[in-house]
Amino acid sequence: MDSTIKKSILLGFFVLIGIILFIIGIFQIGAKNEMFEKTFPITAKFTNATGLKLGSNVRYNGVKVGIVKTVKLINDTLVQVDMQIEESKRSFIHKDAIATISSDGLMGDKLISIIPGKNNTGQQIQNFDLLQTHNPLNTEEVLQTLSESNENIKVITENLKMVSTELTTKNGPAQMLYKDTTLAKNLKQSFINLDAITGKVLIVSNTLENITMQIQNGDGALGKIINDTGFTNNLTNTFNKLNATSNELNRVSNGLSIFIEHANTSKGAINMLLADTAFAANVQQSMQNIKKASIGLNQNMEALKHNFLTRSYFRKQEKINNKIKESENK
Amino acid sequence: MEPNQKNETVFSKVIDEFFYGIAELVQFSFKVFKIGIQPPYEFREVWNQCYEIGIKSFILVGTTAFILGLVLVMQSRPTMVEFGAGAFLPAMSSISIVREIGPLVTALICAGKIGSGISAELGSMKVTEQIDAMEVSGTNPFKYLVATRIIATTLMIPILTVYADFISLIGAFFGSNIKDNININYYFNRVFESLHYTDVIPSFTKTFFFGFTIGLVGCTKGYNSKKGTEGVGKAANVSVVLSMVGVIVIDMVVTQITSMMGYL
Repeated sequence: MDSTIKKSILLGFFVLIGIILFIIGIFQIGAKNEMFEKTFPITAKFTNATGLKLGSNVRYNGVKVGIVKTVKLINDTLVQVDMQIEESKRSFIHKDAIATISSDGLMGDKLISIIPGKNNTGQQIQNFDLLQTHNPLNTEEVLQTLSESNENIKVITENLKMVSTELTTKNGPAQMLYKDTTLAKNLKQSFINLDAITGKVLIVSNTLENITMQIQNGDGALGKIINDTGFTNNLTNTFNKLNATSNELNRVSNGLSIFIEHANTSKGAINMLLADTAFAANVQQSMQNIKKASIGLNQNMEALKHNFLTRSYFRKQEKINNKIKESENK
Repeated sequence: MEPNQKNETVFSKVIDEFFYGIAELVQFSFKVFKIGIQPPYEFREVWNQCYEIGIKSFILVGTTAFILGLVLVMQSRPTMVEFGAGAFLPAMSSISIVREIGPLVTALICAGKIGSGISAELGSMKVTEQIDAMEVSGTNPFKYLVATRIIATTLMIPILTVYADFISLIGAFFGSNIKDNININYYFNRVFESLHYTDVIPSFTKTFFFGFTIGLVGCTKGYNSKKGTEGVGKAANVSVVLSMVGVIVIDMVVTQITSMMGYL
């Protein structure tokens, strides 16, 4: 074969393979970018669309369903993101679906993640529908929170270190708590006691509950006090009467007070009785005289009982008294 | 006119030569378009030059591309794994290769190999007066020698770039499999998933400009070489340097345009 023809065949093969490789590449990229698939447009609005760009993936429950078509500012706070979704995936996406901006791994490209709505209305999404959105998690905010968490962890670690040091320090109070078996036994016993007390408290609580139930049902005195309106009225009347009595007593008390004051201050007989010591001595002397006279009178009476003139009278009186006692006994 | 023919300079000898070279390139490119589109067309010579440029550069370009893809992944992997981004190696390698490494490496290799070859060939023909002989025999040397080579480089560099991209991606796949165990389907799935037309079209388009620049510079310097064999060597040398600088400047401009269009 002529070398020129060989060269031509080789060159033709070379060029053809090159073109085929290029076309395969173009078709593969097109297929991955939804160029050859029937699609429909939907929209979402975000306050922040950092990292989103033309061709970014759109995923529904983690499965790629489309791409981002445009990202444009519509006012000073909102960014509108238009998406192209594969027609074959329309039946899975409902009107109440929620769009969020997430990333493909920690450092990967930004993408739109669509998740099913909570209402599950069952209505399929339509062309140009506006999806609800959740604003993306701001990485700076996350880092800020992580920074604060790290500070907290640092403090906690230092505290743990102190506790650990205390635990390992010999004869320290923490080690005593940690290693003292007697203390542990006591603690155990305390817990057992606490358990028993808790059981009793439970019983008391049940009893109280029963009592409360009875009171609520109107059983018993307390129940009647609380629930019986008639009893309450009576009680009210009683308290009213007690109040009136109290007022009366108060009045009497006031009177007595005035009387006592008068007795103390005036020069009447009562004041003399209470305050005059000479009068008291006279009274005492008089009482002694009366006592003596009474003894003498008793002696005289005894003498009269034995006197023949008056003895019959006393005997009659005795008989009458005996008759009365017998009739009473019968 | 050529600078310093009468010991007169506009700025200085070096600056004058620089601007004269630019003017020469512009004139040459206009001439290529003007004469190249006029019949008769030298298809056979274009075909021959395509063979010389495409087939004979393929092994060099392919080997370099494979090694670069392999090395790119091997070098990037430790850092990416350290950041927990090992899974993004296919995406990273594909974007790097398709956007930049494939076209640029192909163009630079071709600038070295093809640009110097064209320049030396045309320079030899010039100093041995073969070009004058062609003119005398009625053949348009510009159409036959220059236009065909520029067309061939403009057409072959993009095709070589496609091969370079593909081979480099395979090299990157092998690079990924040295320490990981990645399935080839998964790898190429991730590669095409991370690529967009906005990556492929600008990078593929710029390869035509690379090819045109390499052919144009090589032909211009070779066609205008002077001072015998020394001039041929100098023309080849200047051709390689200018081609490479031209390729890098075009790459920068295209990247800037792509960025301005919002595709980066």
